[in-house]
Parts: sequence; C-alpha cells; structure tokens
Amino acid sequence: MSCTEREKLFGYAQRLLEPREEHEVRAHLESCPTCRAAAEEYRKVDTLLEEWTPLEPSPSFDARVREAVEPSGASRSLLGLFGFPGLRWMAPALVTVLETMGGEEEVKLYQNLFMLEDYDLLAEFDLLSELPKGETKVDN
Amino acid sequence: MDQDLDLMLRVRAGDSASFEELLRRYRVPLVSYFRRMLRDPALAEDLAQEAFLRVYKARARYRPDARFTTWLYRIATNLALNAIRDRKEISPAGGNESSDGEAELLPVVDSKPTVEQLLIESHRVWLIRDAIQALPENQRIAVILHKYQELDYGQIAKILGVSVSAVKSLFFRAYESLRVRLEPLLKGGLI
Repeated sequence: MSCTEREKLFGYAQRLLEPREEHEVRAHLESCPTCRAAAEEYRKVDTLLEEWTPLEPSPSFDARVREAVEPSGASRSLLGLFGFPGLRWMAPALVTVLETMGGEEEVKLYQNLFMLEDYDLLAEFDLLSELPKGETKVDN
Repeated sequence: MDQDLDLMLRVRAGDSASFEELLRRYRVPLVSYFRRMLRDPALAEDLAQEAFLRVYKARARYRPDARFTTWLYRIATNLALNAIRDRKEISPAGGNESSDGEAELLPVVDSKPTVEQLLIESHRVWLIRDAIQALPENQRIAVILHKYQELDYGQIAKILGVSVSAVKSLFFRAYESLRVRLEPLLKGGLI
C-alpha cells in the first residue's frame, strides 16, 4: 500500500479489512511512522466518541409514551365506562358535569355529537381528558 | 429468532406486556439517538415518543423481514430527518448544508456552549457533540447508528438506502472530519 491510501488505513483501524489487506497494511505501518500515527489517530477518535454516553429520558417519558399509544388516564376510564350499553343512561349526568366544568357553551358544542358511541372522537375533547384520574363517579 | 423481533410479533398479536418490554429496552437508545441527531432535547423526546407510537400503530402491518432494530431506526431516522428539515437544523457552526445533505466543514469555534449546557455535560463532551452534529446528515446518521446505536454497516445501508461500501465511505469521511474538528482533544494528549 502507499501512504495516500487513507481509507485503507481507516479500515485497518476499524478492523474492516480482509486478512490479506490487513496484513499488507500492518507491514506498511512497520516502516511508515506517518501512517502509523494516522491509524492511531483514527483509533483515538473512536475512543473519544465513547465519552458521549447514552442519555436518560426525562422521568415522565415512559408515561407519555404509554398515554400516547393507549390512552389510559381519566378519559379512558370515563369513556370505557360508557362503552358498556348498560351504563349509557349516565350520559345525561355527563352533560351535567360538562355544564359545571366547561359551561353552557361547551355543552352545546358536545350535545349534537354521537359522542358516547365513539371513543376515538371523545378522546379528542380536552375537557374530558383533563378530568382527574378515576373521576368516573357522577353526581346527579 | 431475534428476541426483539419475537417481542414485536407478540405486540402484533395484541400482547401489551411485550410492548412494555420494547419500551424498556429502547427508551434510552431511542432518546439518545434523537438527542444525538438534534440539538433540542425536548424535541428529541417528542420524536422518541412519536417513534414508539408509530411502532405501535404499525404493529398489525409488521413483517419480520429485517432485524427489528433496522425497522425501528428507519422509523426514527425518517422522523429525525423530517424534523431537521422542518426546523432547518443545520450545523451548530452555521455550516451551509447543500441539497445533497453535504455540509461545508467549518471551524467549530463560532459556537459556544451555554452555561446551562455546560452544567449538564463536560466541555469535552460538548466538543464531541458539536463535532458530530456539524457532520452532514448522512455521515452523522452513519456515525451515530454505528458508533452509538451499534448497528452494523448492512443495517445502516438499508436505512439510508445505499450500498454497504457507500456506508463505509460515509463513515471514513465522517472520521476524517471528526479528526480535524477534535484535534484539540486529540493533540491534548488526554486520550
């Protein structure tokens, strides 16, 4: 090999070469201090990069992922409850809750929707998703 | 069979515990990947979350025709590239990135770490981060995926849609740039 074959030197430093090429480079390095220094530098870069260690996610990360893939908070528990046909009688009570929390305008907005039939649609409403966890009991 | 692939097949079959296991295994690698690709930690976490969400949403269509990590990092890389292009994230040194993703090699001395950044990482790590993030997109992806995420050249080639020899060439060019940019640390005799 010649001194100009930097890519081969890099391959040697990264152990990417076939045995025959590796032998060829090793033989060249024995007699060429410049290439030896260059190969050593690639190894040093490799070692240096290892100082950038993995980075931990923030404490809320896992919960955010779970919530994104499978909403399971207040909205899920409240809406899951209404998924049972026997509990759909609670719909008017929900309207009362909405009136209390969101006001008349909010209720008008929701009343014309078939909201209790469609979980995906309901999950879009911020007001519902903001209900505290386990807030499924409704006073009538 | 690849254990991750087996887990993903279980997720496809509706086993939520297997998704939890994938989350446990890849939460740090994915967040680290995005934080290495981008300079905004909050955005990095949002994208990692989005990557998990896409994995979950695609579970029914999942086909085990490649290693799980190839699939996962292809999703992650697409998200990262879209974010970079959307937010026009270019090299911290202000290097101009051309349409083919090649950035000019500019000195890093123009960018300075903020006090906040230095509180969370040493100056050496900051220099390394800066040098990697100044690489052109494809070189940056190749280095991060191989060096930090431990993907082999074949996997990276599939993700980038190029040949294995092209990946090796990207890797070589990246190291040439890094050698120049990290010279103060390399010559400092601290390694």
